[in-house]
Amino acid sequence: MGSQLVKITKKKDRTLVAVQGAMTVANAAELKERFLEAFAPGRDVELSLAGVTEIDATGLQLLCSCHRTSVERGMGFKMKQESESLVEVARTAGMYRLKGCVVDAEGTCIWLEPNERVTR
Amino acid sequence: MSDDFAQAFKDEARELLADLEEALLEMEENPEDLAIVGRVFRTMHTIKGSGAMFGFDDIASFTHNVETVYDLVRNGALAVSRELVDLSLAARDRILAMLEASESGVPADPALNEKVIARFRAMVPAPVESQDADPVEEDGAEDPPEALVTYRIRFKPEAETFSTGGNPLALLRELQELGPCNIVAHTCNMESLDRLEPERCYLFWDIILTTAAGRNAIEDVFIFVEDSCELNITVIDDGTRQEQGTYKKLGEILIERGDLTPGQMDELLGRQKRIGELALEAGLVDAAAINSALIEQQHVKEVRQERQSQVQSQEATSSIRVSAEKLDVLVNLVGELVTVQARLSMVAQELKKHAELVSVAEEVERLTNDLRDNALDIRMLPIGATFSKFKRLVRDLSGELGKTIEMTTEGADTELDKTVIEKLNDPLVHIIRNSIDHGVETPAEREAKGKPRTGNIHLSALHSGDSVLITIRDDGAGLNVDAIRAKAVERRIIPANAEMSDREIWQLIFAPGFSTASKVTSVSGRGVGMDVVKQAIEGLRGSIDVKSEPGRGTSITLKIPLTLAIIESLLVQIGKDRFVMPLSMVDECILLTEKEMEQNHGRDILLVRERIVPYVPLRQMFRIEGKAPSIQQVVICQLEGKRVGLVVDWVIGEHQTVIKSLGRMYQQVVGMSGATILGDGSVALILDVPAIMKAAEEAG
Repeated sequence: MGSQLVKITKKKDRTLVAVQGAMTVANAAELKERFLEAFAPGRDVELSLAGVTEIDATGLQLLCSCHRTSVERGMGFKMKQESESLVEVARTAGMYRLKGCVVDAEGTCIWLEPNERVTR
Repeated sequence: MSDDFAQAFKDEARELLADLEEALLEMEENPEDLAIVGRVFRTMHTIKGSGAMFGFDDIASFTHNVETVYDLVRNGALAVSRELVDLSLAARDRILAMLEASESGVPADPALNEKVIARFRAMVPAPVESQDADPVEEDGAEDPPEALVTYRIRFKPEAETFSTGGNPLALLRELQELGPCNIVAHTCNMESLDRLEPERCYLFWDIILTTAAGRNAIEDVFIFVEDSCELNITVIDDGTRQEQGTYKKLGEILIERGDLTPGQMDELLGRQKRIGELALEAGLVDAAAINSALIEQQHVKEVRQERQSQVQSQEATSSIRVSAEKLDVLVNLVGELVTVQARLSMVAQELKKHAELVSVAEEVERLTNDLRDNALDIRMLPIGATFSKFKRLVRDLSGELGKTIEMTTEGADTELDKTVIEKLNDPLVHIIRNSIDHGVETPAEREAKGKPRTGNIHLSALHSGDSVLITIRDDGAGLNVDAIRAKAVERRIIPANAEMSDREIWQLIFAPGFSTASKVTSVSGRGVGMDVVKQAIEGLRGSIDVKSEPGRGTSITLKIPLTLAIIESLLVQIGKDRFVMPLSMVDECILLTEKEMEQNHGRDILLVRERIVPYVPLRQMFRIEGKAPSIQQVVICQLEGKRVGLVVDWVIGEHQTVIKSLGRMYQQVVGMSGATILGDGSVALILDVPAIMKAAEEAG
C-alpha cells in the first residue's frame, strides 16, 4: 500500500519520486519515510506532483523540508508538474516568496515566485 | 469664518435629520433590519460629532444620550419598539428645535429636552448608564464600521495543531474572504526530513489584511483556535494617517514586529546599504521576515493608493453645495441672455444680407438654449424628499385620529423646480390632512365595509409634457356629493336649485369658506384648507383635478408646470400692446369677424364646432384705445374643463418667455401675472388667464 502512495524510481544521475494521492496529515508520516528513502542514495531528487489529489499544511511542510534536506546534503531538489490546485493552496498558505529562507543560500527555494525563478 | 462653518453644520444637520426621519420610519417597518439601526446610529453619531466640533454643545450632549440607546439596539441589547421610534422622532424634532433656536436666538425649551432625555435614559439598563458617566468614551476610538482598516495578524498555531484536527489553511482562507489579503508563511523553523516530525506544525504566518469588517470579524475567524495559537492583531493603517508618501520604512516595520531591536537597527543603519539586505547579511533576521515586511509595505501602499483614487473619483463625481440665491442669480442671468438672444436673432433676420451674422446668431441661439436647459436643470430637485416628509405626517396624524394608514409613494425621483417644490409643500399637507381626516375611515368602519383595516394614501408624481402630475389618492369613503351640495347651498356658495354635474360639485370643495367636517379637529376642518390649496396651485400656474368614487376613495391630481422661470407662451397683440399667455393653457386660435359678432346680438359667445364658447374681449377689458380690426382672433384657452376665448387683434406666434415678476405696486392688478421683455426690448405683460376667466364670470 505504501508503495502506491509514493513511487521511487532510481536513475543513474537522479532519483525520480512521484506522489499518487493525498499529501495530508493522515499520510504525513508515511510520506516522510518515503521521501527519506528517496534522498538516501544521495542523488538529485526530482519530485513529480502530478498525482497529488489533495494537500494541506503538513504536505507543504514536507515539501519545504525536502528542500532543506537537499540544501543540507548538497543535493539538488526540484518539484515538477504541480497542479494548479496545488499552486493555489500553496498561495493561500503564503508559501510563495521573493527570497528564500536563511538556509537557502543558493536561491534554490522551491517557493520562489515563478517570474523570480526565470530571472535567475 | 466660524459663522460659515456653523452654517455648514446647520445645513448638514438638516439633511441628516431628514435622513434620520426617513431611517426611523423605515426602521419601524423593518425592526429586524440592523442595517437601518446602524444608519440611525451613524446619523446620530455624526450629528453629535460635528455638533461638538462647531460648538453646538447642547445638541452634542443631547444626541449623545440618544446614541447610547442606539448603541444598545445595534448590539442587540434592546429591541426596536414603537415606543423607541416615537421617542426617537421626538428627539429628532428636539434637535431640529435646538438648531432653529441657535438661529433665532430664542433658546429651545430645555424642559422638553430633559423630558425626552429622561425617557431615553429610562430605556438604558442600569449598568450601562453608569458607564455613561464618561461622555467622551469611545469617540474616535470606535471605527465607523465602513472604514477600511489594514491589520497585521501574526498567527502562530501551536505545534500540535495538526494532530488535534487544526487546519490553519482553512482559517487563512476565511481571512481572505474578509478583504484583500497578503499572507506570508514563515518557514524559518522548518527542519530537514531527518529531524522532521511530520505531524508537528513548523509554519507560522503574517497576514496583512485590509477589511471593513472590523477587528471582531477577524477574531471570530480564530475563535476555535484562540487557546491553541499565538495570535497578534495590530492595526497598521486605518486611513486616518493621510500624510502622502509616508509608508513605514522597512526597518520600522521590522522593529515594530519585534524581529529586530532598535539597537541592532541603528548599528545596521551605520553601514550604507539597504536595510533589508543588511539585516539579512548580518543573519539577524530570516529572509521570510524581510519578505513579509516588504509585503506589508507593499500592501499598505496599494491600499492607500486605492483609497486615494477612490477619494479622487468621489471628488470628481460628488456634488458641491451652492446657495439657492446664487442659482437664482444664474437663472436670472440666463433669462436675460435668452431675451438678448431673441433680439439678436431678430436683428440678424432683418439684416439677411449678412449671412455670417445670421449663422452666428443661430449658433448663439443653440448655445443659449442649451445653457437655459442646463441652468434650469440645476434647480431641479427630486420630489422624494418632500414625499418622505409626508410619511411622518401620515404616521403622526393617523395615530392621533386612531386610524391606521400607510402611505405609499411612486415616482419619488421625479424632478421639479426647487421653488415649485417649496411652494407645493403646504398645499400637499392640506390635501393629505384632508384625506386622513375626512377620507380614510377608522379601522372599524373599514372592516364593516369589507375593506382592509389599514387605509392607504398613495402619492405619485410623473412627468407629462412640460408639467408634472402629482396625484394624492386615498382608498377612503370618497366625496359625498349630497353632503357637499347641501353644505354649499347652506354656505350660499351655490343656489339651492343649481344644476351641477358631480365633477362640478367635487370642485366645490375648493370654494372659499367650504368645510364639511362637522367637528373641527386639529387636523383639518377649519374650512381654510382647500381654497388655500387652490390658490397656491394657481399661483404656480397649475391646476387641480378631483376624481372620486363613492366608497372607493378620492384622487386629487395637481398639474404643475416644470419651472417657473421660463415658459413657452403665445405672443399676441392688441392695438400697440403685446401680451403673452402660457401656451400650456391655449387650446386653439380661431378668427372672429364683425359679422359673427353681430349675429350674436352683443352676447360674447361664439359657436365652435357646434359648441358654445364664451369669449372675453380683452380690448374692452383693458380699455385699450383705438378700433379693433375687422377680423379679430380668438385664443381659446382651457382651464378646469372650461373653454373660454380671449379676443385679441392678432396672434403673433409662439414665444419663449422669461418671467419677470411685477413690482409690488402692480401685484394687485387683476389679469396680469408678470411681465417679460421681448426681443426688441419692449415689455409685454403676461396674461393671468385663470384670473381673467374668473373676472369675466363674475361680471356675468
